[in-house]
Amino acid sequence: MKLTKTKAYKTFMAPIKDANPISVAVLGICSALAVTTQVMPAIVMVLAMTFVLTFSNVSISLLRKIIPKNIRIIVELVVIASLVILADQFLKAFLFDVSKQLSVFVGLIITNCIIMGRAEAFALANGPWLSMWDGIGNGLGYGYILIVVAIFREFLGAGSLLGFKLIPQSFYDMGYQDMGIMLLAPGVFIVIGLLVWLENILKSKKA
Amino acid sequence: MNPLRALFDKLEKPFHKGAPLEKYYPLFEAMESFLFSTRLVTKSKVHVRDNLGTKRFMSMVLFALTPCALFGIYNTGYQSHLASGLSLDLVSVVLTGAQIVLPIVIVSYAVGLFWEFLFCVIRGHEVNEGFLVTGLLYPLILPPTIPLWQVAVGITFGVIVGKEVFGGTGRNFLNPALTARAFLFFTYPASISGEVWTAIITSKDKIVDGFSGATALAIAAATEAPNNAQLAMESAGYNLNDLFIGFVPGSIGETSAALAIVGGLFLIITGVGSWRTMLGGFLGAVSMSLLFNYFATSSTLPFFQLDLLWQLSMGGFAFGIVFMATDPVSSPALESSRFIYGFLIGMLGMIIRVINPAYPEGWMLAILLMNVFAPLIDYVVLQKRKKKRIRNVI
Amino acid sequence: MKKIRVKNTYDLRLTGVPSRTIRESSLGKTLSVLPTSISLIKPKLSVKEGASVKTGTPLFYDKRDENIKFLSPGTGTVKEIVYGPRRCVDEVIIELSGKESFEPFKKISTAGLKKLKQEDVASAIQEGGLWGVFTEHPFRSIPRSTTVAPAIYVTVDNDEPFLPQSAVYLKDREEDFKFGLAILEALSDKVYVGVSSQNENIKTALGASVTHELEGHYPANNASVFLYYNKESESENKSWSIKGQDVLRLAELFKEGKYPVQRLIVVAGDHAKKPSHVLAREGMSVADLAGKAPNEPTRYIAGGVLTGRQITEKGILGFNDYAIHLIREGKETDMLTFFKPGFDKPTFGRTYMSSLFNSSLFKMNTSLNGGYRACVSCGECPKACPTELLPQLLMKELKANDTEEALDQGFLDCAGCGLCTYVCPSKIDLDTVFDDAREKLYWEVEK
Repeated sequence: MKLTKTKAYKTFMAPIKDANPISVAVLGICSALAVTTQVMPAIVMVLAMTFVLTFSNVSISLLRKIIPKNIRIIVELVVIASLVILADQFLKAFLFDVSKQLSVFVGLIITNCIIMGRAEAFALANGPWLSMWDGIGNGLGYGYILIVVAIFREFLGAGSLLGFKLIPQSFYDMGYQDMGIMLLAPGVFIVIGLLVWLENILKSKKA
Repeated sequence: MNPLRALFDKLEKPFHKGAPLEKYYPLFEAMESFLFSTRLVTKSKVHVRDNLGTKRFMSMVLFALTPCALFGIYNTGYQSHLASGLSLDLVSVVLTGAQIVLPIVIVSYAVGLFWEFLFCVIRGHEVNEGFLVTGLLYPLILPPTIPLWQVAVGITFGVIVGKEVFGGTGRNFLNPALTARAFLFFTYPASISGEVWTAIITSKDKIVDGFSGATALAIAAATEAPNNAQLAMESAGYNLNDLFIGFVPGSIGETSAALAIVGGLFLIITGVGSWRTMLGGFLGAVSMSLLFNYFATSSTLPFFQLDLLWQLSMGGFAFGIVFMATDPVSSPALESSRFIYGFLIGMLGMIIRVINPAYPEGWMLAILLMNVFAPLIDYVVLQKRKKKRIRNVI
Repeated sequence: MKKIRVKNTYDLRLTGVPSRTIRESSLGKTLSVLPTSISLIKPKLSVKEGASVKTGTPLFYDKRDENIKFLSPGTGTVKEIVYGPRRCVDEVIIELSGKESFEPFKKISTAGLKKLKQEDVASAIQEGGLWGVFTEHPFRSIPRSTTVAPAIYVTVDNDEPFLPQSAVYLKDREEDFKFGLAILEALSDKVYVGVSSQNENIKTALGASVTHELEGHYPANNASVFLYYNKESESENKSWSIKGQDVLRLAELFKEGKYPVQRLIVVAGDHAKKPSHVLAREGMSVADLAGKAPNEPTRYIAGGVLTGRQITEKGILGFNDYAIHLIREGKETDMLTFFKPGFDKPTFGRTYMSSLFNSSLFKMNTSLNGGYRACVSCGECPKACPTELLPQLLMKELKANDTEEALDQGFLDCAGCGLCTYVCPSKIDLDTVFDDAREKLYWEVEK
């Protein structure tokens, strides 16, 4: 069977292409607001998020037949919380600066609607193999929007990318100014809004 | 036949359906309908139509804006010369003013129209005249020192995010000119707040002694508790007369309350601007201002005590209420809700101006906020209206 | 006599006013009947090609209710039946024979009328082919033959430019009119007669029969508007209405015992040779009635200029048409109009100087006077709506298929007067949106 025809591939691509958690389902906006002022923390956040999402999906999928229905949310939370603590400790140990920048937002992954949503909507109904791909797919779908937004914000708001100054000093001398709004929360809404617009145009052209 | 008409008839051919330039018909239509009245005839059962078209409607607003715009040019030059100690004779002042203001207006129109045309060509509909107004309103609410590239960035944002994202004129819920200015305000705060209100054309060392560059509003807002805001302004050289007529530094076209009133009267007489919005805004500002006076004590901000007439003559109140709040698209659809809408703008703008020290002036934010609430006001008023009718449903 | 002050009316003040003289017209060789010009019915033919018909022989009826009949306006043979798309009957052409003979109907006198029951009066009208002159609100359809009207509204005057004036068609016929009202009273408990408040002569001539005075310009004398201002409960929403001249035709049917074919129409507009009242009958062509227009682009309209349907120079006077208009197609252009003061530009608002300084009549043409644009909520249309609706909101709701909300706001009160469309600066065809929605709704209800 061709790779693109497999169920796993479709599960993986769906959240990236058609059912993006941010631009279509508009989930996880809070963290997108907080961590996208620069590209570096956004990347780290995406990795942490994908890690938690994948493993929570897999574990919950494995446990799906034993979890009693009426306490499933609590069980899911326990799983997610453990994974989040793991990720948080890892960052503190090896990437202390970025971890400081991300501050509470790593801890807040636990309340991220995407994770809970995927656990409820997908992992509880599917096997671990598909759940893993769904987790990775959603993590990356969330991730690419986050990184695109972060690129816009860092470049327009601070004139740099990944910390490297891209706009030369001579521009500033000539009167160029950074866009202050990009570093504020409304900037994210504007950028995400424009991305959703673009995506809708492209989709409507295809249809 | 008119030779110009003949020329246009010849020019039209390549823009017809199926012809090579079909896509660019909106461009041609905009040019043609600017010069000539339409050749379209009615199709529906209403065979005759009123002479009022959107073009006439919008040009009425342009007429109303003209005094403010001309005075804006004069005042920009006047303030500049005053600060630099140059001669104050009419011709040189107007020349300086035109030198500063016209580029801003031209950039606003050119960049805005570019986006407008782009969207019209892509979407295949005619250019809406609403931009003629937006394109002039926007420069009039900018400080004269604004860099031209920021003018372009602002109007780009105003046209795209304030309007075209939602489908173009008529479907936007925010005033595009104010959206553009708000964007600049938060994006490049250095260019639009602080001492940017007088364009200095000479070198810094020639500035006359005692020139501070601070607007009356800034002084009033910065006055500390035991002092009196009015006295502080008076000692900085401001008086009620100048504030009302407009011989003070400020955004290009909004300093003159007197001319805004003239424009407002014109809009009310022609029926283009909603008198309910204007009256509501006026009453809202008056009542809030009086309320502040009532609650003013020695421990409150000195701005609280400021006299009503000063409050109304200062800043962009008159201009905002007359030209910005009355934008029909972004204000509520019902005449009766327009009064409430205006009243809330008046109150809110005064609150932001007096209480919030982060924002030197409140009208832009008040109007944008009420733009967002306009559908809600409409909804409430509509529910009341429905109850009055004898139901007629099947 | 109650006075109703109608809000938001407008005087269009157009030239081409028909004079009060009555011109006779001569029949041509054929008459045509247009079933499609009658809205909200499903016509089914009761004659075939080649059949000979007398004046008053049924030609077609409504498929859903065969008592709603439409009769032949002349004597002769059915020459041709023209079908449109999906075999709807577009036109029935009758070739006239020289001599006219009438189908006989029962004569009913004033005394006889009093003895009859409501059903008998109704069936007499249905037999006589005049059931179609009644309009049932809110859809303005022809009522089913078995329904009883909660109230009947009679509008004597017409203020739309231009329709026959009561001073002309009622002259010396007040007694007939009162007899017609007696027929209506036999049909319904409540009969309201509305007369324009400017029309002093008719008020005195009709005396106590007039129940309401309607104050205002166009469309104060529109039946839907009259109903809107007069109704007190929901049950009256389904009232009927009838035009003043049709009351006379009812009286004529009962008195003479034959189908009343004659009616008074106006031929008006700048391109009509002599705008005046004309004695006509259904099925006559524009050429018979108005003659030739000058050699310029001309718009032919059957009905008033704000509600009539567009026809060609070969057009036919339909069952419900009381006017033919010939007006100029406004295709020529003018330079920089929107910067001029505009003393000669009529306008509803105050954006041209004409609203302040010009009180004369204005020449009308069919120019759109602007391009099609999106609605900018300028607030002109609510100022022009006699039934106090919010046309711009209704338009948006109907376009978004939110019919429920539109109904809730009173969409069915819409009188269809066309003033909102007239004033719209964005030139949106609000009337088309409303008519389409109303028709769609009717067929959903009537399924």
